[in-house]
Amino acid sequence: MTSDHEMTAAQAAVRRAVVYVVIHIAILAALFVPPLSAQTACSVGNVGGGQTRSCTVTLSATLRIVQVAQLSLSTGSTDIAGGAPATAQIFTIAGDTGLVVVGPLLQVLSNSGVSVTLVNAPQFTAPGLKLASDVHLGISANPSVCTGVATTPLSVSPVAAQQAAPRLLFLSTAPVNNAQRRLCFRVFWRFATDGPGAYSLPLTISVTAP
Amino acid sequence: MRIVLRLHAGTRHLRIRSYLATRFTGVSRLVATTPRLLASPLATAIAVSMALTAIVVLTPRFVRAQAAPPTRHTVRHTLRGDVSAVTYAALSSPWRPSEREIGVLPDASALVHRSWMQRADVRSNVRTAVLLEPSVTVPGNSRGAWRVLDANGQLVPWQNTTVVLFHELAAGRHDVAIVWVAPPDAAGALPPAVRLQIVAGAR
Repeated sequence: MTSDHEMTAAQAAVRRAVVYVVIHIAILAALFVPPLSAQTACSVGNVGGGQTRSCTVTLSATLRIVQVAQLSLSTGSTDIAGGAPATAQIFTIAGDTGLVVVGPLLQVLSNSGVSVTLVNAPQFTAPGLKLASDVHLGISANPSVCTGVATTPLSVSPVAAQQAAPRLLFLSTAPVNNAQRRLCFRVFWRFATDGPGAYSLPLTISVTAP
Repeated sequence: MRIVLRLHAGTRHLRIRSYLATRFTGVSRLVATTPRLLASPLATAIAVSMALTAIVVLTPRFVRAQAAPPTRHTVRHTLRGDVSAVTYAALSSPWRPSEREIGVLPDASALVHRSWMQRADVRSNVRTAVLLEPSVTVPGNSRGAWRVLDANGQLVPWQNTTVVLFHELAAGRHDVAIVWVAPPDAAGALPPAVRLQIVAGAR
């Protein structure tokens, strides 16, 4: 019994040692398995004698196309007072029917569906109170025409509220290759409220794809 | 299942523990019900090593985004306007009798049949004064000057001096009346040629 027991203990020790080594070899092999890859180089010797040899290199290239959307405006600002100084004629026209002002040209490129939206400050930075609703905005599909374009007032809601539901300027469910739209403004100047000074109203135009 | 491996390189014992309290020398409860082959420690070790190899080989080396977030760009545009003082004045109506306007004067009854009125359209985005410039020529063959109702409600001769019609008009558009009284013998004579002067920024 004692001999058997000693033999069993020895065998167990050997067995544990073998197992120990096997596990470690397996773990190390697993950690250093090289990634599968295609052959990217080969070489042939110069055999001479008019004989030819060839080898082939297979190269697989993968290009991931990301979403691309571009929005550009032809100008960074638009003069809405008819030049300086504004004249009484400008004021008279602008007070009655609004002064038609040709705004920037908007260009959109996208490799997917795209939307262009606008958010504006609710009022001008001005000597007095002048609301953004004194500016009406229209979109012309003809980049050179603003006459006769239907316009609606800019929002006087806070910017945060507008961002929740911004004004849509352009929408396409398909990719867009250089779509052009003219922004047309109709500006109302009023003798009674619009005193001398500098007026400024920032617009934020965003493109989102898809 | 989370398996914790504890390897004691310098010892003779290797213990594999899981949350089910597996011991290296024993058989985990998970594999206790498997065929007898796995009851062998050697077989268990080989199985574990194969599993580890499979996990390492099959685990992605990097993670790719499956759904790209929307692309968004923003540009800014500014509407700008520089506005200076803007004034405008024009006579907007023909001469006509002005019984009603002249009626405010004390001796209106004597003047009413000689009173005339013009209207003027005055616009400005600042406060303004409205002046009547001196006459270059006295119209007709009158022996006296035409008189005009000034800003103080007085009939004053209008010939060689500037007459203030309104000291101050608020910014905006105003339709104002200019009231004249003709000289006694001016019936049928030509009315005076009127020139208005707008002084912006009146106080």
